[in-house]
Amino acid sequence: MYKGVTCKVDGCARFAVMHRDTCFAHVEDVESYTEEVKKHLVKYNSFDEANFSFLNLSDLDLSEKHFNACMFSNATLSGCKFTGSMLYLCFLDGARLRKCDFSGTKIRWSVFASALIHDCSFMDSVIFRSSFNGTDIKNTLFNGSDLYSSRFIMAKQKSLGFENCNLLRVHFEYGVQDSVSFKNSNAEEAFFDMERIEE
Amino acid sequence: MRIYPHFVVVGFSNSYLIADEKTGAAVIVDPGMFDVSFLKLIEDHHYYIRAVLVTHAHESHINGLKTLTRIYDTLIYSFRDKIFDITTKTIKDGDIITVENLCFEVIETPGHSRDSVVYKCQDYLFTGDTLTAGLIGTTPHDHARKILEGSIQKKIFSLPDYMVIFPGHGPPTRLECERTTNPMLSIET
Repeated sequence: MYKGVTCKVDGCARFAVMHRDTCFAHVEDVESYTEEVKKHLVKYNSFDEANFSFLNLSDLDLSEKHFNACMFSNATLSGCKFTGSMLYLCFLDGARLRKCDFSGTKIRWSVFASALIHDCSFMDSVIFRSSFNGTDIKNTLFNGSDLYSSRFIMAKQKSLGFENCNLLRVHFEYGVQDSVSFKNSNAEEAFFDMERIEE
Repeated sequence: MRIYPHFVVVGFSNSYLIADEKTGAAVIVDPGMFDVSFLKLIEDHHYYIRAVLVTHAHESHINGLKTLTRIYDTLIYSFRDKIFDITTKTIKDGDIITVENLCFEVIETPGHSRDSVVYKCQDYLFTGDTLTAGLIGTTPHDHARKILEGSIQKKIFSLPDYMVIFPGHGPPTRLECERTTNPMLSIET
């Protein structure tokens, strides 16, 4: 589990980022640091307890990689490819994900809460006990995925596909849904806000 | 310190294995079921269970206790003095449980049940049914609900935003997320 080394700057409670003893806000040369992280991410296949919070990463091929207890909190990820990757106990809370491809991933015990997820794909994935609570999700497909026991509570959902999915014990309460398809999925085994079901 | 969540098939709850990697001493929070895969997880890492922490004595959180105590000689900490026929070491608000380099603070959070407690270990909270991602525990009546909300507001939401929550059911979360995305709580910051 992430060890949480605190930023060395007095009074700062954020965690230090990978390869530095400060948090991202206190990294001195952001551009060169970002490049360093990108090279590291591309070079290695397995990452354990690494902190990528607040980083701005784009167009990276992170397919078939393993992320164990890694932090992407409040990171901006655009055009990144996670196909076939494994995310275990990872935190992407508050992240901004645009045009990212998570298809065929195994996502377990992970947190996307409060994230912005636009134009992404989570198709044919296993998404086990993961939180999408409070997310703003738009134009994103989960088709063919097993979402067992994941949560989308208070999520703002527009133009989403949950077709041919396992939705057993998935929570959708208190959300706003617009053009969301549950075709061929066991939506009756998910939890919805009762008032919305009656509509 | 390493934390391993373990899914309990019966009751759909979460157990947690928390290990001190330096000494091999380990703690289990809420053994809802003690199955072969959980035993394998412990033994493959050469851990030894030194303590079991119970967040509350509902079946889906304690059903593995009997099996567990037949395998490991371990202390069981609970608000109750007895679970099944097993005598426990009783705990109260503010108690500190130390197992080698692992240190757990007991936070009483009644409401879901009278015996509900949360365990705080470093930056991690093991909340049982008191607080889960986007939900809070069920309560038998309105008064208990008010007590539960009060416990969460006063004792949990007063902790730092970055704390990670490992609940008794469902996915993990972070305290900051619960402040903003838990519809069950009237947010008062």
